Amino acid sequence: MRKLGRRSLLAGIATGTALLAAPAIRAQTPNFAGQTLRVATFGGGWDRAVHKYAGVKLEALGAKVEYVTAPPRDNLAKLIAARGQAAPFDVVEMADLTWVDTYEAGFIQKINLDNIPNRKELLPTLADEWKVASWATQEGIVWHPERFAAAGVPGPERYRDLLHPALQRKIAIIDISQAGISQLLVGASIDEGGSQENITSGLEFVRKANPFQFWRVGAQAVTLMNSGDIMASTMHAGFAVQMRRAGLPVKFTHPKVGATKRGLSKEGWLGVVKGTPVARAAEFFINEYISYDTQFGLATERGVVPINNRARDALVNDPLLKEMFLLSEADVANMVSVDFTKFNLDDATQRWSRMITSAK
Amino acid sequence: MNRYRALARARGVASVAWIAGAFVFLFAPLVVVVGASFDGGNRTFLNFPPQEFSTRWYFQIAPDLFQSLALAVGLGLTTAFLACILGVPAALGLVRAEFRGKAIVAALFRAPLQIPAVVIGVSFLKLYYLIGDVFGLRLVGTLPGLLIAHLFLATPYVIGSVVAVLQRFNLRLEEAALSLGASRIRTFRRVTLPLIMPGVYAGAMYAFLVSFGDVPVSLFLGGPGMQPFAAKIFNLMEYDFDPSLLAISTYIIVGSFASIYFLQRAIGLDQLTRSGGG
Amino acid sequence: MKARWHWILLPSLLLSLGLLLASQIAFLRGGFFRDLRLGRMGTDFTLANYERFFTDPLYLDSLVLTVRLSLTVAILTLLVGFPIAYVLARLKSRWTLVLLAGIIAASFITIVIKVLGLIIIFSSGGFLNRFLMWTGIVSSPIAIVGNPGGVVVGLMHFTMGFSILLLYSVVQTIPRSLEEAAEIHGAPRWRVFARVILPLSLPGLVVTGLIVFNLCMGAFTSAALIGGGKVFTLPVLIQQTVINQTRYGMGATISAILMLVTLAINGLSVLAMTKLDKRRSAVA
Repeated sequence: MRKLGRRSLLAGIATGTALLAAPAIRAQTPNFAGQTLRVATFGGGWDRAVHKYAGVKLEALGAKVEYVTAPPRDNLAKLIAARGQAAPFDVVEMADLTWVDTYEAGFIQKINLDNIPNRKELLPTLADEWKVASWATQEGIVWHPERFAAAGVPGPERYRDLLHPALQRKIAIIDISQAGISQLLVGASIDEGGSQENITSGLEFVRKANPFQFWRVGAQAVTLMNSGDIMASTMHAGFAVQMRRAGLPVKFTHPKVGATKRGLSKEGWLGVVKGTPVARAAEFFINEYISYDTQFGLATERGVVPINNRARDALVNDPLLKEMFLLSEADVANMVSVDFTKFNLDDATQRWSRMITSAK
Repeated sequence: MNRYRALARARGVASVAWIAGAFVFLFAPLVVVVGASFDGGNRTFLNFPPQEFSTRWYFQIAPDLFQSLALAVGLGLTTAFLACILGVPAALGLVRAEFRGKAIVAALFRAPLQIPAVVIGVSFLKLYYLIGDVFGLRLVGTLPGLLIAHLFLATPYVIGSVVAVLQRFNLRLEEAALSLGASRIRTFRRVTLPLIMPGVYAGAMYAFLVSFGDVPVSLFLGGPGMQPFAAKIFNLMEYDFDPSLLAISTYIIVGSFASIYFLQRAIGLDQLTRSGGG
Repeated sequence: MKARWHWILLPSLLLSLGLLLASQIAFLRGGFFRDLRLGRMGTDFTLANYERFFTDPLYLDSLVLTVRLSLTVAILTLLVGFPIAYVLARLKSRWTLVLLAGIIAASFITIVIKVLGLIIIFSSGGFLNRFLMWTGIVSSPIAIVGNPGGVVVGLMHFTMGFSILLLYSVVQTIPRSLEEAAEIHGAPRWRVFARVILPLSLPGLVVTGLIVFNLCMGAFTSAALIGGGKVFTLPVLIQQTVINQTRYGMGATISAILMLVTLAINGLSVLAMTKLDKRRSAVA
């Protein structure tokens, strides 16, 4: 409730100020001629989309933008390898879990929020002096209604519904190595009487679900869905959008969690790497990354949820995105978000491996 | 005699069936991949058999995919060539020399094979950063950086395959050549080298394959515009699958047949099939 | 004359050794200190990580599984590959090159793509499973992902092309005249095989088998993608420990043990080979 109030108030102000502030910012923008900004972000076309909307803006001011593509966990590994030496990149993409590690290890520096005026279009929790959100997704269950009907299984409403006997070895679950695992474990735990800190019941859910596989590569799970080997998978809603666009008649469930909550949000974060010689360019880039244009473009092209409020509101006009994502202010506020200062991936990974190896 | 012929034919049939079985095993997934590349749908998965036949994905391959393919081929060829330069003498030394601790030296040469590629990636990254710090030499995200790591991965294969051939090698031929007054270099070029060539070709081929197929090491050591093909595909698969990846795989299959054909024409790879047979 | 051979292996030895030590020492050293995560470690020497490895069934089971899988793949690859290499090497036909080219071409496609094809082939409602169930060979559909058998198939895809090439060059070095001589004297084919071909190619078989074995011991991509998150080989555990848990010290410990076990198995096989060789030459 607290969030909701502040948010709607801010949203109103933000839309106004953003319009007013735009010309003023342009007048102040420095010249980045001769600078090179190295951005560690996702590969697979995400880098191209980010460049198309955000990178070109910086390059228009004379800088050059380069992309080092890898998953966030590998970005962290690269920073660890470079500890004590020159930073391997200037802006780093962190998945929700990675940012705590990246922060604790001291790899990121404070961001001058004055240089990020677009943050006013974000929920206040999505930008602070250490990190700024870059995208969001919503974790849940992708399922195939025809196959559920054929098997006589009702459509899932919460994670627990995947324990139906007819679904044994007929679903896929996200692998521990993937970002998004924390949402599943925390969501299932809370729903089964656990909490953010105590994920034992979430692990127990995974064990009982007895999935066909734990997926590591999205295309693999989607191929299994198409071939009929699985009927449902815990994934983020972007996959449901992709599948539907590709002609697979799937539905997406935002799982109910506990008595009142519904859906699980997952954010990506941007940080400025400590010791970068081009901090100002990095901040300019981050500001462009969260702009309406970039966020709206990424959402429609890549199937993520914008973290920019205005861009998210605009998605309501897209019937498919509207069906798959929770977009209204009230719905977004009612989602579970994982507290990463409480979630211990190290411990979860250890218990996960032990549980799966001893299950056989 | 008739019985002998029938037996020979049965043997022939059995070996044909065996080979056919192995080829089905090796090629079945590729048939599916090639088949699915002709599915015209906007898929984010592999669809087989294809539903709406189309060649559209063959024309929608992103230019940077071709660029990274070219990088991987260049890197693979250089790796294969340098791995032979390093590996052949090492193999000769290993088989011919008699010294204490030979088993240990052999094990050292094999050691890179036993390090999981992920560890090679992380540890080379650390090493490169260190070199960058101490000598001001940038290796991460550069061609030399990738090349050194791939050489580390690939040289053991050349050594292994040349050693395998050398161990069955007839020393007397060399001795005969030498006793007939041929110089040592001439003996090597005219007698030794042709005899070990099958091993060298196999080794070079595998050095190329190791470099071309490597994912984990390239994932860590690559950089902007410097991501070899397999690693790039791995990245793409995690976030953004589309059938153009299948289309480019088809190009690679066709391309590797073509290049083997041209290689055979140009330098006579068929000595692979002639050298030991007589 | 013999003395010279030392020198030619020196340059590559120095380079390999240099790279090996430079890259691995700093990494492996981490295994002997307390792991403080995020690549940081304690200052006091300790064997705690090693102790943990040998007392925790998670790691021990994984070690056993890794060795077992690698051995299985090595043996199966040799069993399937050697006859093919032999036939190809003895085949006097223009098809030889085409067949070899096919084997090489198949190896060019990354397992990342191939696994999608394998999934379709082993789909529960697919042709293969329907056929197998129709013949009664299996009672329920077999799956490629999520079980060690599938990982074996994936690894064989990874190693087969290479092994055939290697074994092919080994068979090439066996003079055909030897076989012909034996056959002229009336020796049946299997005896020629057992008495001539097999002994002569044994060193090559062992080297190839060891390379395949080593390759499998360190294979991550196949195990991770086909294992379906259920097959925890040591490389998968290492990746998880280093990347997910940022426990570099523990990762180094697992790596070191993986390397030592692999080295030991290599050493034992080479030792067994030399013994066998000596005995054989003594008999001769």
